Amino acid sequence: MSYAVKVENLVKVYGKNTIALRGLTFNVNHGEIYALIGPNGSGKTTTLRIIATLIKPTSGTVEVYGVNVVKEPLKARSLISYLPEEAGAYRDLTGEDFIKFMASIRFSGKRFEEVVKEATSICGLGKELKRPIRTYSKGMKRILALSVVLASRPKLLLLDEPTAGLDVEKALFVRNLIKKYNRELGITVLLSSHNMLEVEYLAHRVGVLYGGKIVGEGSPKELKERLEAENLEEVFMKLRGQKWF
Amino acid sequence: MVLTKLVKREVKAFLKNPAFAISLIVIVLVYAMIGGVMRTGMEEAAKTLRETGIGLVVEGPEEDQQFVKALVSLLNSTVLTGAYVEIYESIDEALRHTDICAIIPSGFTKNVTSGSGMLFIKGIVRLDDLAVFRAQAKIETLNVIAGSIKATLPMATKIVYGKTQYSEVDVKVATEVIFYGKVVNAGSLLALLSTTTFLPVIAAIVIGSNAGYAAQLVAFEKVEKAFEMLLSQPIRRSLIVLAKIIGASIATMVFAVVYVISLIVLFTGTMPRGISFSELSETIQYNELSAQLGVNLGFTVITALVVSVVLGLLSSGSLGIVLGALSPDERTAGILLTPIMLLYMGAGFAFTFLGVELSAIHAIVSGITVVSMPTVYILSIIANEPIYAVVSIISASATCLLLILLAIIIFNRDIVILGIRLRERRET
Repeated sequence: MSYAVKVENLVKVYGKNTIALRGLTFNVNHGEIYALIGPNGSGKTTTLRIIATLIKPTSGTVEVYGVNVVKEPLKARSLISYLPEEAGAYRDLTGEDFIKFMASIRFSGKRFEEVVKEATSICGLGKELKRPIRTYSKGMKRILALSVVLASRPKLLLLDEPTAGLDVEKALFVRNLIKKYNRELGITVLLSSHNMLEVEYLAHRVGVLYGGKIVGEGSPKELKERLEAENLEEVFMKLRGQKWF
Repeated sequence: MVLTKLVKREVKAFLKNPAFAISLIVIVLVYAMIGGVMRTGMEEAAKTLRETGIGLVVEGPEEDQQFVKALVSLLNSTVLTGAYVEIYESIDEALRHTDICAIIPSGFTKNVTSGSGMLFIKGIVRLDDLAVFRAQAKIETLNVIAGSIKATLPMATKIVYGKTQYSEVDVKVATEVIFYGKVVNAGSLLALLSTTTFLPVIAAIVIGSNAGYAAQLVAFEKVEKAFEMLLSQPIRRSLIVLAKIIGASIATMVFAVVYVISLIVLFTGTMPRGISFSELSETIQYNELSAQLGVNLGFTVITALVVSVVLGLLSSGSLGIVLGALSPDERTAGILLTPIMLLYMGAGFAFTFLGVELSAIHAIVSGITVVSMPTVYILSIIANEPIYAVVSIISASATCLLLILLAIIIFNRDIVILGIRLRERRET
């Protein structure tokens, strides 16, 4: 079976002795929303950065739709759209100019116009798009960046804590957008999050990352049943071997 | 009291900023070095004035050799301190031994004894570099000789001719400069040297600024959190690097144009009322000097500037991109950039005060730093030794390509995302 993302024995060591990933292995199916959860320092961002071709693994392999991200990074990038943690935008540009600039990197002609139109529509910023980004709130910047990422309709969407720091209303807006694009266009989504509620709402499968490797994997329902937990937070704590209050 | 706490907080913020601390240290070191370089340059110029041997040639066979010898003896023993005058048979012979030659023209001793009017001697100075201070020192030496002759004439006439009555006359010197084997007008050449000698400092300011702009482009993009989005796009990193170098270069060109306009405004403002800038610039007399040097001076200067600006912007832009890429934020970029900018400035001052001589090593160094490249280029064309200009351009091009390559390599490594790690940290 071919996977959208195939991660095998991934190891990443920073400097001489800071081990971020210790033989990480997991797969993401096509059309699936897969969530990586774990505490700070567990390796979520490192994993997403390696898949997005931003950093290279110390050892192990990563394939995106059969493309090795280390050997063919350019080809891999054409399949991916990546929204980094706390992704921002160029402060000197207007929202409209930012959408056009980012779209122009990947697309031209009619497809470029379509992407700009779609991003403009999904961000819902209306007249605010004419204003410089430096006047935007954090939520507005996040939604603007996400709209560009979604409108490019990649085969694989990598989202690093997509709703971190957003208020309830905007977080819900973002989650619904992700769900819509996954359901309607079959875009595969690999995201990381600290928000268990969000993960339960969005993810088909969850990988619990701890100390640089997967310590538990399955659908939220499976994980809860297996560990006799009421929610994913309890699952997470039980997998870490800590007492759940 | 709240104000005190606020002020303390602000001062602490400065003092704890490594960029500020490093700037303080580096600025002291660099300016101490610049001071040393300036002192060396000036001491060398003064030494030239004091200690250089001066050749004296008597032009006409009818001149009184006894009088001339007495004059030279008096000059060496009484008036001149450090410097010495030696009589040679011909100008060629004198110039084989010294760079400064004074010529007693035909009829000089006759005019001395007759006490008629003003006395003239001829002067020839040989220059083989573009250091204005050395040139000024050598030319000034001839004026000192003329003044010294004036001072010793009464005693010389008394010794040789027993004349006790002597009416003081002025002794003027008509100086010619042999610049790389070409005879040129001293005034025009000095005006040209005054212009070209500060090119390294101006180049250092422009190049240092460009490195700063380029580093900021990357560092701010990281702070704006748009950098990772850009790098994850399906485009070659080399394109991103080139775009940033070109972007920074355009910004610097705008800065350089405004800077030059400001300098012109400054110089215009300091000129006496009633004198126009064009009148002043005519003192260089480019056409006359071009004809004397046998080169198209205007074209040479413009070519030197264009080639140096293009290569300088590309290499300093690449260097700035490298520093920006290594920095996790603009604070670290500042730490890395400050010494680089100050070193450029230091190199600019060093070349300005020590001068630029034509040699293979100097041509290579000028290509690497770029700051003295325009001077080396102009000098090598004037000296009819274009090989040094070629070596300088090749050296600058190679440096430029290496820095661009380095920037591209760094943009394809983890460090562009993680930044240079001053301390071990856990990044996951």
